[in-house]
Amino acid sequence: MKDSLRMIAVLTFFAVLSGGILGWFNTFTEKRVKENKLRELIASLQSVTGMDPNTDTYKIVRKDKDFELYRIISGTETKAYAVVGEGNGYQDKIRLIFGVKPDFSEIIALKILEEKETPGLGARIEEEGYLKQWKGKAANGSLKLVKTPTENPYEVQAISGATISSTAVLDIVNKSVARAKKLIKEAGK
Amino acid sequence: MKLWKEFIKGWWKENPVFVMVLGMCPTLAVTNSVKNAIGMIGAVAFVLVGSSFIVSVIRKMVPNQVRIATFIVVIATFVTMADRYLAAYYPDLSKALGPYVPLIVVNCIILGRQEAFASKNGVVASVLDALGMSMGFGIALMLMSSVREILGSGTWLGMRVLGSWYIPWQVMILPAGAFFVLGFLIWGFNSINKAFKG
Repeated sequence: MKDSLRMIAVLTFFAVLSGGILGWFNTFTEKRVKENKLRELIASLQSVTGMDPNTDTYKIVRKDKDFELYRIISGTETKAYAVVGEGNGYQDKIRLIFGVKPDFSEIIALKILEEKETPGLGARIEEEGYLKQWKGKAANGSLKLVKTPTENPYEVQAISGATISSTAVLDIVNKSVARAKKLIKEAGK
Repeated sequence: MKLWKEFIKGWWKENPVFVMVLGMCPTLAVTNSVKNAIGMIGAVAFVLVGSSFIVSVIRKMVPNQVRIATFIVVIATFVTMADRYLAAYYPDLSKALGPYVPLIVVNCIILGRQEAFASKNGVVASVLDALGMSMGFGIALMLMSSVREILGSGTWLGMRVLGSWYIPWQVMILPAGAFFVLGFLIWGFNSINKAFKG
């Protein structure tokens, strides 16, 4: 009886002590972690919508785990929308962000936030050569994948040897565009 | 003299990676670049030295039946501190290491040293032992990541070391490459040991 009491007392003591230390330590790091996240978000918004952080502001329209929608506001006008989407890639989740014109006529730019695709194949979705073709593509939610270089705004060229990763990016974009459009329409009513 | 021995045994004779073959998860997973390896070595050294110190101080008041649970609480506290610190001050590194920082909690090198050494020895010896083991882990990870980054990307710590004529062996930065390099290094380690004994 005495032994078990001692066991409980010692373990409880260390658990409480550990909790206390971590709580105290967190007060130092929490603020910086939040600042880092915010800085990262603003940098992404800037690179996909051309937002000027000095004059433009942004508003969170929707923030879910696998979908985020931001309205970029310049003065009183909506300058662009930025959409964060997520979906399954070849190995793990792919998370990306893209900017679209306020009337959803075309995509401004696309950037990959997270991916764990195969280096040299699927991971090439992060390369500039692939990403730059997204500029000016139609944001209608029904883009198609093709195997050859294309100027058609309704088609996107796949990376050879990485069809699954290319399809995944395309699906995420199409799905996210549709979802963003619906949300904006509902908010407009 | 005895203390010095506790310090240097981890470098070679009892190297945690090549001789004891412990801590394989970070050894295989984060050695695809030297930068990731350095981050992991720093985090492991901090956790190992910190927990060895605390465990050797409290070893007499912890009942035998709950010693492992207590050690894990101590280790987890240090790991969480290291994880939060990286997230706050080195966000890129923290992102690259991903789940492997929290996974240090279950790294056998750390729990192994607490169970085999710190819970039976004094504070000075335990801290020296932990420092030596961290050095051994560091040597192993630096070797692994140098080979993998140079062959797999043609760079070392992000600097180009092989000319543009070199076509990187992409397999070296994939998981399979980690197993190749580990196998060859353990082979080399054992061959040298054998040659010196014989």
